[in-house]
Amino acid sequence: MIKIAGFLFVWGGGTAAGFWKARQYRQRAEQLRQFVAAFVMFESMIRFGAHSMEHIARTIADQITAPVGTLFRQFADKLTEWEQEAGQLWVQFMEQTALTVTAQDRAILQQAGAMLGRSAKEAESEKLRMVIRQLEQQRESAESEAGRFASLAQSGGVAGGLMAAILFY
Amino acid sequence: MTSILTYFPDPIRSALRPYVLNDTYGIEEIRLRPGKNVEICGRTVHELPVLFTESCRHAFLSHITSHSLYRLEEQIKRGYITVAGGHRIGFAGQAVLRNGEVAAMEHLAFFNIRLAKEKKGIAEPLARMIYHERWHSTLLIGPPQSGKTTLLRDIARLCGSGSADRSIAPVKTIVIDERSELAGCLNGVPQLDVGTRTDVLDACPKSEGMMMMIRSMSPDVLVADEIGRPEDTAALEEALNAGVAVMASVHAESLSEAARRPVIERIIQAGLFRYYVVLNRNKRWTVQKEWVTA
Repeated sequence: MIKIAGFLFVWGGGTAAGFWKARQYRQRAEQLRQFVAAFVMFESMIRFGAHSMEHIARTIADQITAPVGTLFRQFADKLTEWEQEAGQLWVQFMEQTALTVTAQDRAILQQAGAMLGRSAKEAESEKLRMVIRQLEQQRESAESEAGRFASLAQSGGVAGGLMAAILFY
Repeated sequence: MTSILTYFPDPIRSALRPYVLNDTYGIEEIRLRPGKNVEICGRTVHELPVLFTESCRHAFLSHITSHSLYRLEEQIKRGYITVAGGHRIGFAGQAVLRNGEVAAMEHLAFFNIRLAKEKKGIAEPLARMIYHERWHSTLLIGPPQSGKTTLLRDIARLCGSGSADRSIAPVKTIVIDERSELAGCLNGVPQLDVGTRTDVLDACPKSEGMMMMIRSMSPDVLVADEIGRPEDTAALEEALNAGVAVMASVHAESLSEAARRPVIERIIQAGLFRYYVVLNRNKRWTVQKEWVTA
């Protein structure tokens, strides 16, 4: 009885690990897609509107789902009482928020915060467009990775778990 | 006036608080220069024992722009912004030229915060002279810090709200507030009292604004600060021909000095204003000349 339970536990663990990895692949692609959508909104609101950064962040938060939407809402909340530059706050958020993105993605996202709110409209817009381009590339690669490896991770997890369970049985 | 304190980073805010709360020195301006002591100007000039450091500069700039410098490009190009409470913050930094014209300002480092002070009732004695059954066009002449804007704001308030004591009925008044200094508008809403029947056209060039308002808002009185550009003459003529009284101001020490400027000379010679009120640096005024039109 204990052996069967152990068998199922090992198999279940392997399967869960596979599904968790597959979910990470999909989540990274989804989060990058959300960031791209958020920065496209950010850039167009800067270019065509006269809204404060706090207002823009709240508008984005209302339209983008968690976790990126939540991140923008928290950023807007904190910005009202923030005594230093907005860029510093953004970098702090990027370092502290739990996201399923790679270190390279995170570095690009941090770049978006550099000089945030300190430049003229055109410069701010140009910088955001560059960040959007880079994020788009990351998103494409994340989607391709998710397409290739997510199912592999799932079936690998199931098969690996089963194999380990048989070996331990 | 205390609303201005919220824009300063903590060490400066603490140092300024007692002076602003008690209005010691009759503060009119707060001046910030990188690496230098904070200076307050009023009846006398006084240096506070606190430095305007680099981090203070970033924090101050973030506060006054709400972390959004991009949306104030036009104001920054003009050299000042207006913040809540109607206070005006002028600045200097590095000008960016494009085709020989100032296209932007970068590295903003020097700031002059001019505190908006409402002095309700200061125009009442003047109303005795410029109101006879209706408001008459009046030009205020004075050097900087002589109180032209404060007086003009109170004239607008009197026109728009009237005065029961002086049997002055409120009339439709339009303030053309090119520099957001008269009404101190923030997002289109006046922060200072400019009267109940007063409409404000904020941040619009005076001449263009006067024409627009005459055509669309049927004003009885138009109020505009610091006229002096050639196109202002045509707008003033248009207003007076439409039967609108104009209250305006101009920078000069005296009427004769103002008349040395070709545009003002043309305005005076055309008899566009009925009264000329000359202010001095002690904020006292005299009606120096009355131009009686036919």
